[in-house]
Amino acid sequence: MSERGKTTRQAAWLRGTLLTAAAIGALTFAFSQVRSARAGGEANEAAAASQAYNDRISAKYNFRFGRTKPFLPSNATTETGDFIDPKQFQTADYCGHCHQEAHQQWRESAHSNANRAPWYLKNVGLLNAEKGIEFSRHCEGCHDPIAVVAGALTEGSPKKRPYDQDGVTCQVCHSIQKVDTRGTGSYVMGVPAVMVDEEGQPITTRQVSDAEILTHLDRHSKAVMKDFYRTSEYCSACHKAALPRELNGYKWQRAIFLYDEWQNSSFAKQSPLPFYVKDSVSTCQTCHMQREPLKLADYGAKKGQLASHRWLGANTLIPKYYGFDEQGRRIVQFLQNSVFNIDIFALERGETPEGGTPQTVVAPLGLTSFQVAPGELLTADVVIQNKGIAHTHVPEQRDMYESWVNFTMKDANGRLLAESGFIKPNGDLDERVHSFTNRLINAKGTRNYLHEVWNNRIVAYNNTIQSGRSQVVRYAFQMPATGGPVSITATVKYRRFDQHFVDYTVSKHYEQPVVDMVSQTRVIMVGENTPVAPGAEENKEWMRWNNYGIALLDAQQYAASLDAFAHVAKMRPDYADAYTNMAIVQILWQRFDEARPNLERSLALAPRNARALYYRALVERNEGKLDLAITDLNEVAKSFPRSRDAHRELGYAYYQQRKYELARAEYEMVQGIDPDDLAAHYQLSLVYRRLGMKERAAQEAARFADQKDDPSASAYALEYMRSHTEIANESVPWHVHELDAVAPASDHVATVSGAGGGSQ
Amino acid sequence: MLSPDAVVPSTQTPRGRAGLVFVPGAALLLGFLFICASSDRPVQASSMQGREAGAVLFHEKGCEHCHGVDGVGTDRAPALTTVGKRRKKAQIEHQIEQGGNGMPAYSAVLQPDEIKWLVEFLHAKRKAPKQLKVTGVPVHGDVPAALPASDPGR
Repeated sequence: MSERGKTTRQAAWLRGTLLTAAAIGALTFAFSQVRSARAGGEANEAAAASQAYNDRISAKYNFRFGRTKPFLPSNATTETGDFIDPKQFQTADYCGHCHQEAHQQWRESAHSNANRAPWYLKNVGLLNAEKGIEFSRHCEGCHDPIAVVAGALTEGSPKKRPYDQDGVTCQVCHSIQKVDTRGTGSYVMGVPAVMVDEEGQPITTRQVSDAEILTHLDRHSKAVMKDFYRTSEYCSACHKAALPRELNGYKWQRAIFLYDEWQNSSFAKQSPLPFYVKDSVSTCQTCHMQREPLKLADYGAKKGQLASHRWLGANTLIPKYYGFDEQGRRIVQFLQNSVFNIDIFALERGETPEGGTPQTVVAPLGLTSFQVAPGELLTADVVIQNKGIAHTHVPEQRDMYESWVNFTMKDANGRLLAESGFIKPNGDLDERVHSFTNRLINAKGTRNYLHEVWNNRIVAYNNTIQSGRSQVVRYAFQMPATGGPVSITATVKYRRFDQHFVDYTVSKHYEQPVVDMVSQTRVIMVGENTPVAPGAEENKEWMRWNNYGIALLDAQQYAASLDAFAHVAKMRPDYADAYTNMAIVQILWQRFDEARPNLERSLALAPRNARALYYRALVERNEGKLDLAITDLNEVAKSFPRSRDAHRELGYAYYQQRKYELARAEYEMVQGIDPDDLAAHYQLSLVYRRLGMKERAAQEAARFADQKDDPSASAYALEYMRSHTEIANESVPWHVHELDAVAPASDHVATVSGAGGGSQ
Repeated sequence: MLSPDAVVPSTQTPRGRAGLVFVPGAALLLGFLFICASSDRPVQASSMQGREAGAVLFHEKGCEHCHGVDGVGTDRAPALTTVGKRRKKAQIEHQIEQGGNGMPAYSAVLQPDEIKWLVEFLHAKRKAPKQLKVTGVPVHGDVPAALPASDPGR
């Protein structure tokens, strides 16, 4: 074959090949267009169906709180602002097909049972009956989110909704597109999707098959997991809540502020102010979603482990009621795992029955020799430190929760001589017990015994124990006139609800698990008492004094607190915080001149220490040295850019200097951390006005007026105290529990440790 | 029976704009296939071709999401860089089809031929690339050699 002929044949072959390729390409293009058109048709149909659903619900929906705010009094909303057809939410069983471990854990968790437990349903039933179903959106935004975004919480909506039984389902949490830290359901719900398409858009217009998911696992992950799901801010959307005016027709009130408590705690490492410093950051998920080895199959696992979807916390009643034995066991372990330190730290010696002895303090117990006279009156100072919780105990403004101190005095034979904090035969707790609780009072001056938070007017007193802080609980008792030693035992106990609430919501005399969270016993001899070997859980001596100092500070016993911190400084002269702590007492005691030298000593030991700088700035501001204060605070803010305290103080210092733009920036920073910071609302109302921003000034002024305390509400608290003298002393920061001789045995019931039992 | 060479287009699911991107590529590829076919080359799934098809499938069918690019392993699933040394073909096939030990079953997801080519691809993996040791790519959970070979779940 000639070269030319060969070339011609090759050219023809090439032409033919290209033509064929072009034809196939054209066919493929046409095919893709058909598919594209089909997909477009599906999308249009789905959009029309969504619109139709929204129109149908809107036609009969109760828009009591405004046409543009259909979900109030919850802060929940949807991406479009429209209602979402509940059929768009896949069931938890669907997810459980591949995520068996997560499903099993979730089924036993508080999330999955958030909207079916009788105590919750009865409480919401009260609200529905008293005010109307539309008000229940406040609760359901976090307990039954599907019902809220579906627009089901309105008159005439179906009573039986299949998703109700699942509460906070997989797709509730895994469809949230955005949150802010206002809480009360401050999330934006997207239309649920188990997969995104090639362009990263959620597939919401058609069913996605298992095969599609399995061959595009990356796109499944993109649809259901977002980085912010791993943050504390994510949890804040529901684990922070307020009682808004729309709910109570009264005013905005703080309810639960777990996120803010965490953000201010040592666990977050975002504030310089905690008394102790943690080695690493712990988020909500660090404690409540610890990674655990799989027991069942779960394709979401990494290294054979899965972030626990049990969300272990303190709900001991769900496992008992539904028979979730493992959940119950694990919660008890969680509650007993170094949450508290308890230290029977000191004996205060008052007058003996014969009188005459001046009061002294014997401390620290166990390391000190002392004499006790027969029949002597003693007061034990029990120091309880919240060392393991990043928020308050009890964790929420929940005065139907019960955690208390049981204090017993027994003779050498183990016979009970006296007790505080016992459970009575009818299940009620000893009224004069020391409880880590508060009292929520209504406009009648009585307690809201059934958690009718919409009727709250004031918190009569608050003895909950903050993260990282200590409380001193005092028990006065009399030593035997004759005979051997006595042992005194202090135990922190917990049960989910008070008996009254359980009797109403579950059944009469329903017995709940009572968990002993921590306990300590010391033996007091009549006569000579000598040092004993420290227990395994006992803190070092300086730390025992430190916790005592913190407890006395919070009890407003400034002189004693200062003395305790001085002991720390003596034992640990290298410990800068000992001097800062002394200065804190002096600042609260309004002794600014005495505080400054201690702060300088602290800064000499730990130059540029943010905690000491912060308190020095307070002293400087008090002295009118605003420039110095601002310099120190700026350094604090540099080290702790999310310290709301530093920014708040900076804002005020700038405001005092009439540097309004700078003040504005600082307060807006504070609002970026807590949108409901009261000081920021007030100061910004002033600052905006100075800057000529009248509308925003008016908004902030209105928020401040809505959120500030109502001074007249104190009358309700006083009325309650007046008619409940047995607990009136609890409202006094410094109080003593007088131990009575024990009542006959029949008046007491034994407590039950652990959880479990029951039936589902 | 499909040719391994046909694997790539068959796994594409073009939609919307992605479809437009796909067209020129598909045209070129199909053109290439046409050239191959017209040159009278036999369309036989040689072992090499099966391995290549398997490699494409490994990328296309989501295996990399858990087993990592080139099977180097991730937190989700073990490295497969030396799986051919540890597992017989039948064992690998069983694992893909039936799943187990944290892996979903793919018998209802993949075609028999696709599973076969994946097996070809994986069974040929006997020696970990050297650079892996240098770069320290995580190989968590690589199938332990000590496991009994008779364990079908592995």
